Amino acid sequence: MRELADVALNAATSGGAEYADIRISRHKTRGVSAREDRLQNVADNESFGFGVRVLVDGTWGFAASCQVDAETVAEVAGRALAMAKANRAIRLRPVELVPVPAYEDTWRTPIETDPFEVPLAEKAELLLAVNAAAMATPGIKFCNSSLLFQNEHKTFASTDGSFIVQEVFRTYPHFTVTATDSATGKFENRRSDTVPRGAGYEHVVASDMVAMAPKMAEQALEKLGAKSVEPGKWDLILHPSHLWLTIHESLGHPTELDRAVGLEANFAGTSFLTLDQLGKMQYGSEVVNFKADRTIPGGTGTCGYDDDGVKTTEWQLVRDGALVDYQTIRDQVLWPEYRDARAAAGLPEVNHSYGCSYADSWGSVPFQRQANIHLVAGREPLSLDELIADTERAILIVGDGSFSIDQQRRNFQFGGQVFYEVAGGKIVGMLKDVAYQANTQDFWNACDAVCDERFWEMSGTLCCGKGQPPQGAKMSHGAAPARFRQINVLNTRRSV
Amino acid sequence: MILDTQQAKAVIDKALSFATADETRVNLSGGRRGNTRFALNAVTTCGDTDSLSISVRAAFGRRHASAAGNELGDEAIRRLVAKAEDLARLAPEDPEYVGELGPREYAAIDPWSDSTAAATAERRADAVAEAINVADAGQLESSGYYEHGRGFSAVGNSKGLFAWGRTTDADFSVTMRADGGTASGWAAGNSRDIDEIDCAAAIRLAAEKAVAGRNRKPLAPGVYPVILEPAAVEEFLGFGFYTLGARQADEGRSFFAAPGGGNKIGQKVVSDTVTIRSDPGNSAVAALPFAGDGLPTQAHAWIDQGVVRQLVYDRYWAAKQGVTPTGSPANMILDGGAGTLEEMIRNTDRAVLVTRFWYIRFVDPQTILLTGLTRDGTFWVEDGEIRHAVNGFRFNDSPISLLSKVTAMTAPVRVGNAFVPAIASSEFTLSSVSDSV
Repeated sequence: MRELADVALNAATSGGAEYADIRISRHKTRGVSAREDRLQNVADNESFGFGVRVLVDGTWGFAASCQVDAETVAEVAGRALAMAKANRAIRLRPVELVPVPAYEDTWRTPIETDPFEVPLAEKAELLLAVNAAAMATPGIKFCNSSLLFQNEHKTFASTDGSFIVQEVFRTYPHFTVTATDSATGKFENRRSDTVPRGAGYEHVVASDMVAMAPKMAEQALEKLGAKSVEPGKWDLILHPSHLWLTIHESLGHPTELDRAVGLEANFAGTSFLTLDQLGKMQYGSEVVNFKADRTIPGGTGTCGYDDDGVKTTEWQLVRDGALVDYQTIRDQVLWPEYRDARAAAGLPEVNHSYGCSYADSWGSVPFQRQANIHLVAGREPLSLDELIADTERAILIVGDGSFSIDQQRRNFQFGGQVFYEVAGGKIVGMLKDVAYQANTQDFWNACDAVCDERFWEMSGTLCCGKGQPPQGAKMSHGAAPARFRQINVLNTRRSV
Repeated sequence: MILDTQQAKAVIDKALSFATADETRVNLSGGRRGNTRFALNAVTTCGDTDSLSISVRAAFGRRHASAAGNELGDEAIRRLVAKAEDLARLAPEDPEYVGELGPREYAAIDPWSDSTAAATAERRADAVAEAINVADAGQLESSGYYEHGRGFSAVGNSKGLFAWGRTTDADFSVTMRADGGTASGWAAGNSRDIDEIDCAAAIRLAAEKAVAGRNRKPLAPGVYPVILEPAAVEEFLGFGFYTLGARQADEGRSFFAAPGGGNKIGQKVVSDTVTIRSDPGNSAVAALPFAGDGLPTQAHAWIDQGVVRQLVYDRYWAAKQGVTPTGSPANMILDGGAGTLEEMIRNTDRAVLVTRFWYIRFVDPQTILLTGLTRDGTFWVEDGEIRHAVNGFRFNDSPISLLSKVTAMTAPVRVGNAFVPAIASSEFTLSSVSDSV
């Protein structure tokens, strides 16, 4: 690998690049899925290749190939150089990278059991047992279950002198139970309360889906007969298994600095958190604190170094409700508008990237992706039971469902998996046809309580889409249960 | 990288020669894609990528598994076949395994353009420069994306089936923002033939919409007549289009399930002016004449004059139900009517005109209730004229409802993998205001 890296970097520098990097990576996924009493699919995918990125006169060029040999590496480096030179005339501001140390290092997700080594029979047996456990509930005829494992092995080398080898594992077990009523034609789904993790097969074992399945089945049936919600203003108590997605959409994305300055305008949009808001905007109430952290154990976005060769770290985005920072990559840190905004907000100067660059494949251009981002747990002792007991009228939402947010991350609408009516400080029954719609800033300023560390949980995604061409990134989001006052709730039942 | 039919067959035959399973299928695909992205009136990223993928599915009786890779050396292929076979031997029997198809005949469809295949980074840069020039002249901020690709796909199996095809595609989109992001316009073009994409026209249209967006007046949420431009139609109907699975309907788990059992084939579900079909031979949205398992791609009318005529049957469910498999839809064609968007506007008393939608997601699969946002050009039409821009909206509505209230449709145009018209509908629920631009 080192020899191939040298070919690329030498070709780039002798071709006029002031910076270059190469990522040689192998991406593996293994998926096993089952429905009811049969295995549906066993698939093993592997992709190997390399991508060369060059900076010539402040202009990026990139090329990649699945043919990994010295001759092709040199040719691809040449194509990247040509790309950069072709775009020089339409480049406005030269790209400048904040300096990083040279690292010679390795990093691997700490795992107990390599999921790719676990026998297929064991995985198949587990999925069929999950489905059987769900279908043992009278009235349940459908259950789909699956296991997904990812492995990324990346060798990164740059003209900064770095040579970094990383291996990242991710594991996601889940299932969905469907309850149907053939007389009415109605059906309801209940997806499992399982989460993706930066972990090995031990996460599948710990998820104990077989034990969980009967409860999910009962809840799917209960949803069929649940009371349809009265629309209007409700207090909401949001469980971490639900809240992670609201955090992802309403805080994670608008604090990506590329989005905030307008670089994603043609696709995902921009952000209402413009740089002039830094240090000024009261994004949320005083109990709302958000941290970004690409080092947290088990995070699906956790790794040792990003795809710019920056060591990962943690930092604060929102403190006591105030917007105090963004997520950044190397070529943003030296932007005058970012540095001026920090100075105007009285924030200290920053001369390092927060390490948010990621490419989902050897053939993809690295660019800014969302980090693991967490709602910090409440400082005062508060359990979920105590929060419910303290609430006169609310809907408790567990699990994530429908999700949609506008192109500046203001107007959003979310569903969930199950909805419980809270009345007089007690859960009194299940509701259905629930979605809530709010403006992001109003919503987070309506947060008046966050449970404590004991109730903090992490969920996340293996497929956050962004960019053109689209890339999928992975990140986790943790939270404790939190209450939001007087949020607009819709009834989603329709006749067509 | 592109392999021609002989080269692809040689690789597939090589893989099959290593196989020891009862049945083996090999899929091969690859190509080169190039793209240039720009924002804030400057290029941001640009790249091209050569890719290749080989996938092997092995079956021992009813035990099957697949493995995929992207290395074509003999040893790599041998390992890939062995991996698929090792997994297949360990897999439990699948009672729904349908077996590989024998040799087929395929329609002579060649969705290829030499111009697209030869497109370069320089061509993309020229279009981007044009967008930047227009933006600079109009004191606007341009951003956008220009991508093209050429590729091939091939399938072969141990029963002697073999198919090979090639494709090209090109896509250009541009967003113009005015006055520090207080107004926005968007336009796009796509085709398999890059020469058919009029980038200059898209750039001009996006700029016009952004300028028109400066004159924005508030409009309250509510139920309104709407005109959806073809891009909005494609995004909105596309979600509903992929709920056409027969199995889910027969199992009582989709909108197309009938109360009491069975499905809605034969039932009227939308206006009788609506026919939605697929046709791989349609010249605007031509598709490869074969699917991944080698099944010939077919033309089907899914909804014909408002009545459900066909649902999507895979080979297993078709055999179980005693019908012919349909395969997956090759594309989405809504026949529409005649006339242009401008004529439709002239014939409209009042409506909200929507350029495009954003972030559409399912709310309730029971009714195909969707939510999403309007974006990049939302206007009020009155007495046959566009009067002014309005604020954006979140909507909550269903394609079934929209298509039940159609009042007019234009002639269709290509949008992505769809050939759809602009649609005027008498009622659409714009449920809350989105101040975002």
